[in-house]
Amino acid sequence: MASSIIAANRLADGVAVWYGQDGAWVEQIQHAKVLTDHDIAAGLADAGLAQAAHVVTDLHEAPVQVGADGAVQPDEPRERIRGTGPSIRRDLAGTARPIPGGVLPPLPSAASTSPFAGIYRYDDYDRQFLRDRAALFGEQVARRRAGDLSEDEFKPLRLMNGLYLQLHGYMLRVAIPYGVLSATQMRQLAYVARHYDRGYGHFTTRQNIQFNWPRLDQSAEILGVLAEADIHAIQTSGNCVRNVTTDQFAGAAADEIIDPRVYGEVLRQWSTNHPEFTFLPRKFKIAITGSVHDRAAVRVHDIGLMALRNAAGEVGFVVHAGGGLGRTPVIGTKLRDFLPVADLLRYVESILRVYNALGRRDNIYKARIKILLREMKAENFIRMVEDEFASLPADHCVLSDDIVAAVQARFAPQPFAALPDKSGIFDAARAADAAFAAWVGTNTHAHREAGYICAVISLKPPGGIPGDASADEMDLAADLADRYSFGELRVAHEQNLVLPHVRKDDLPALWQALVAAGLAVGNIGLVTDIICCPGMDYCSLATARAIPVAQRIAENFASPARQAEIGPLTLNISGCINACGHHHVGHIGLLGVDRNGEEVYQITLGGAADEQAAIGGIIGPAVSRENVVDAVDKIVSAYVAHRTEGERFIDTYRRLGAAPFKEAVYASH
Amino acid sequence: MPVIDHSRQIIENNWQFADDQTASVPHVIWPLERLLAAGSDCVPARRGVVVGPAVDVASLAPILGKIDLVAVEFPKFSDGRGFTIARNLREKYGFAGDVRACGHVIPDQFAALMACGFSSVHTPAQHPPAQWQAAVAGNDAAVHVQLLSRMISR
Repeated sequence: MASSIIAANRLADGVAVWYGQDGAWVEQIQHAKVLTDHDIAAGLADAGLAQAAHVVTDLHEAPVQVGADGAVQPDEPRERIRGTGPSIRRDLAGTARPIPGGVLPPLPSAASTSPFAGIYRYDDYDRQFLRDRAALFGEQVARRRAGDLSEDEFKPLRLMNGLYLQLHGYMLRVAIPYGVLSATQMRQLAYVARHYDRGYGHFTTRQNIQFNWPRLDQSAEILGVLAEADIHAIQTSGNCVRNVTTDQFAGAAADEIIDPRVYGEVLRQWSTNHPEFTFLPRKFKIAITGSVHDRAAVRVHDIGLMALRNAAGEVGFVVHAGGGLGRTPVIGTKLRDFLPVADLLRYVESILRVYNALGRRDNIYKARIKILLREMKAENFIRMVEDEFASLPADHCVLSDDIVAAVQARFAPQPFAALPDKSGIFDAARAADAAFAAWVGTNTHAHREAGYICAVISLKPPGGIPGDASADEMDLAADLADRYSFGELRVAHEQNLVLPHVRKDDLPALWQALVAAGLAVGNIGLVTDIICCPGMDYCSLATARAIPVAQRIAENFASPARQAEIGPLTLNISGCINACGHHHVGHIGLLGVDRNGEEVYQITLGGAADEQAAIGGIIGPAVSRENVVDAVDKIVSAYVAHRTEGERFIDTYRRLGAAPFKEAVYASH
Repeated sequence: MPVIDHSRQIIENNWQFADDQTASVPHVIWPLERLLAAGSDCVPARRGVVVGPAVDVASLAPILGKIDLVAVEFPKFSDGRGFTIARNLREKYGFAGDVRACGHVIPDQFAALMACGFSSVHTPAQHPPAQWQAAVAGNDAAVHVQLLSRMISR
């Protein structure tokens, strides 16, 4: 006879609970009441009363097997992980979830404003807006708990405030607009991690940070804490325009045409509470790069903007639309070769208006703009956008020079010293220490100011969780930013941190400090710099785990010498078809899928997220969890065997195609 | 269901839908197809039209001059097409009459509805006027305004 249990999350704090004896909600899956065909209907009806009374939410039945010893084992892997907690953080079992009440220490934002960091400087209006938004969300939570808003109605409102309901509870996604953070803001994030969560956060592939354990009844308070440091979670989820992402070296890189932070901020203000575009058919992601080298993967976004200078020397944007990953990966279609800055918002608004009116709403999997563009055909879509654009009143939403200048002025310039580009200290350290030299080779990027350099702090230690940082690590990064980078940090979409403005003279000392903290992993752009989504360890959409695979692959390639020998290679892992781990655009991509209750991994090769963006091709049948590390190793070894002198992995793949790699993976199986 | 205006106040509702002529109010809101089919001279009184979210606003253009009210139906509050419809009615076609949101809309959308050109809301049963008046009192303007509107007013 089939057996089931009833799972839910408690509304107030999100904790995973199960329907137990006498209608109690229990926090241990082993205490769940096992129901059979005879009593499941009555159990669901009774549990449903608790949902109707706003005690629990996301109520669902989970089929289970009951062992001879009485142990309950859900059939679905996801439900098993709901029962045991994240498989990669067994240590959490010994740590407490946040409990409301108690006296907290003063906020970091009360002590410093990081005056030299290149963040957008809020004024009282901006800050009050965030405070009011946090208070409004508190009201919305109260109305949900009182039943004035149904769960259905509340859901988009909480999503637009960054709050998801995941496998083990709520998750709060906080925006890091265009990836820029001050040291104070980083400390505020650490404060939230420490006092409202479980001591860590996860930097995502879209320049956000996620907290995995917040409570609903504290969420407005958390937003209030963030507001004091000019940070928010507005529109980090929901079917609206999301956090605009850009190049992690924005405003610092030597190869930049414009500073994309300025346009990212303009777009943030334009999209925040846009009255027309807050209930779109689906989410909408905009990315912008200020350099001809695309470090923001703009062609796999709903709108991708690439700055360029035309023959007359004027600045504008190449506009792509309809790119995206997910179920239907597509490289964006070019709409405009050159869009003048003044028309930026008008044109984006025209694209959104066509999408809002015509995008599909009957099928969530066909609701993104890429599907509309494909179904309408690109030329028709472009014509409609251009018609819409032409019909806008001439004075509608013009991005004039003075507005650009006003926004630019809010980004305080750093007081750079006039330095020679050559640094004796730096050169000597490089010559003396091969490990430092190797780290410089992978983890730094040229700065536009002579004598300065951008330094990347890898969040991908061997065996670590890609993108995760503890509160202590966040504080340490903030301290290093204060000491070496004008109190400024960046978050890369590859899930690493950046100290953007380091004196070359200081780089050896910075590196030593990172070594001491275990954060001097020199793997940026190498095979162990893996982009990885949270996967089924946390995410309720995932079909397989992603992090444990990333950990095993990183351990497999842990030798710095071997990584260096392999050279530039991107490896991206997603735990489901939604592709948050960008697997389609990794040189090697892994997609975890569920095959009859078993986690297996599809391999794609040849993807790229840069200015030569490409979607990877599947090379054959999915491989098992046991074999996936071996398969990746064989692919890499095949590349090393076939490459010509100095040839990168992606170039070997483009030259030879998939055949030698297929041979390597499948011939021996 | 009560109708509220741009200041969230309940207003007298003189309109009823064509398929629901139970009340004794003077004016009728016609489905667009029936109004187009009837031509311009069949309905002597003031005229209203109700449109669904998929309407092409251009198809309304020929009759807009003879219309006093456009009711825009929201099948679900999360279907945002109505916002674009209202904006097009106001900005592209210069419609100056009443643009009324009806169907499933929620109090949290009030400011956005008004910003897009709606002038009244037919409040749904589950969200009576008291909710619209209470839910977002006070800080409405600050919280719901498009952030950029400080720099670009249109």
